Amino acid sequence: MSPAERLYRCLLWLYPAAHRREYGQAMLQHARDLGRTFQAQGGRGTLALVWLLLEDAIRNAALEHWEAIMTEKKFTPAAWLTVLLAAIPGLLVVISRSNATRLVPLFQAILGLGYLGLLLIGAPIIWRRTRRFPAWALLPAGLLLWMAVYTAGALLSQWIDALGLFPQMRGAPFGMVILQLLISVVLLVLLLKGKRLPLAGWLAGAALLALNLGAAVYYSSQYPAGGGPAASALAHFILSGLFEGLMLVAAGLLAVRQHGLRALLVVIGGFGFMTMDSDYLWGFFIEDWAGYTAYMVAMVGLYWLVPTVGLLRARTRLGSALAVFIPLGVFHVARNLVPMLVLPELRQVPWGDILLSVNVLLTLLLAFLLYDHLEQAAPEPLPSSSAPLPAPE
Amino acid sequence: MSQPLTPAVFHILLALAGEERHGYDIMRATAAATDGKLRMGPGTLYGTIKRLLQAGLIVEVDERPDPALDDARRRYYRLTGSGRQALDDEVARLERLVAIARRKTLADGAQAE
Repeated sequence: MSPAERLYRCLLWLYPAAHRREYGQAMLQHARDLGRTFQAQGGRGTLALVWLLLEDAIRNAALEHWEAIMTEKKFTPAAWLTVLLAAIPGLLVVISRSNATRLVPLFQAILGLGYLGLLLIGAPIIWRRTRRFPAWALLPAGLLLWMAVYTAGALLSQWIDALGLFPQMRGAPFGMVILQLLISVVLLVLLLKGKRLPLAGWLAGAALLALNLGAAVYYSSQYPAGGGPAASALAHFILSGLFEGLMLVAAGLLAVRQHGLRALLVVIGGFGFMTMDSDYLWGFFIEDWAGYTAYMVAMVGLYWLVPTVGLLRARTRLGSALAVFIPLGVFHVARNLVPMLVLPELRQVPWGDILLSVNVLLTLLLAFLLYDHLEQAAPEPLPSSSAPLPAPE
Repeated sequence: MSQPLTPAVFHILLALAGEERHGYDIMRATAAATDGKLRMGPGTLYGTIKRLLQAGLIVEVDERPDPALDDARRRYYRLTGSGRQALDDEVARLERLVAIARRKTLADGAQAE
């Protein structure tokens, strides 16, 4: 096999499966023919060929994916409604934090409560009638789980403080960590019992653990010997990053059987509020910047809309991976880089935000590897991410 | 007035105007017609071919010009009536543009003198 052919065999995986099935062989033959033509030109020819194949594949694969989305016959108005219903909670998070709606809290409350009602009443009704959790409710379910644990954890922390159970932990989000740990352990044990997990999944989990423990140790060491409340709080914030991710991954496992890789929406939704809640994203530090509105619109689209549409639409594992990691990768790079570029007074690298971004992306990688493995290992065919987009139930 | 064709579409139609060709042959004809300046990669070529097939401007043909000399896996394409019409329209459009440009160049030259 020629090097051109070997390279192009890999690049072909960037294309939508249907295009690959129809034209893959012919495209491979074309790459082979090009390889023979460029071979005659020596080293420079090889470089030119690699550039031609790479540039051609990246540009055209993106175009084919876009075209597949826009011309997909099953992407009916009803399917767009699914996307809209899935994306509303993200928009609510944004609306709840924007200056415009801070002036009209009633609007925000009505909209939020209305959607909560739709989720809490609509999803169980659909479940009872179809034995299926609706696809549009995956993302809000993650968000709702996080908010519920956050609220219950805060109450639990107050209770722990009042009882004086752990005096050195006063003021720390201890209750939230306890809940996250409990939910993670119970769900992971129940849902993964007796299952062989992929090595890549173990590695991603180990990397996540190492990142958070390393950060906790580092931050704690910045305080005087013996730690104290501030160091404890910080360590717990960091540890909550680990357990928060594990909890969301575990919760997503509940949806893998019915939704395959779309279960990643649970993790994305669960991280949503915290990821968006950064002073450098929409806090007072940055909102005076002239490009702030455009930046916010782009960021909201990248986090809440693009992965949602992509995951609901993806027909292949690669499509799902691209739908999640490209927009969220860009989002997290922008989230950390843009403030440093546009705020001249920001001399300090926002390490806390960077840590959060790495944490979120690693957790998503762990979830992707686990869900994909479980989907592939399932004994019967699943209504998976390779199935057409369902209409809203 | 019809939309201008993209360079890839124009050159594929042009390559198929004379004879049936397979993908790589189309690319070679295009490279020859443009002095090697336009080299279509597999993605551009087959993405464009797909859209031309969908638009009915070309069709895939089963017969081989000379089966003994050819790889059976290659896919051959032929221009349809609509494809020829689209190519003729584009050529006419380009001729009009060239004529306008020539007139303008001549007029500018005369003014300069």
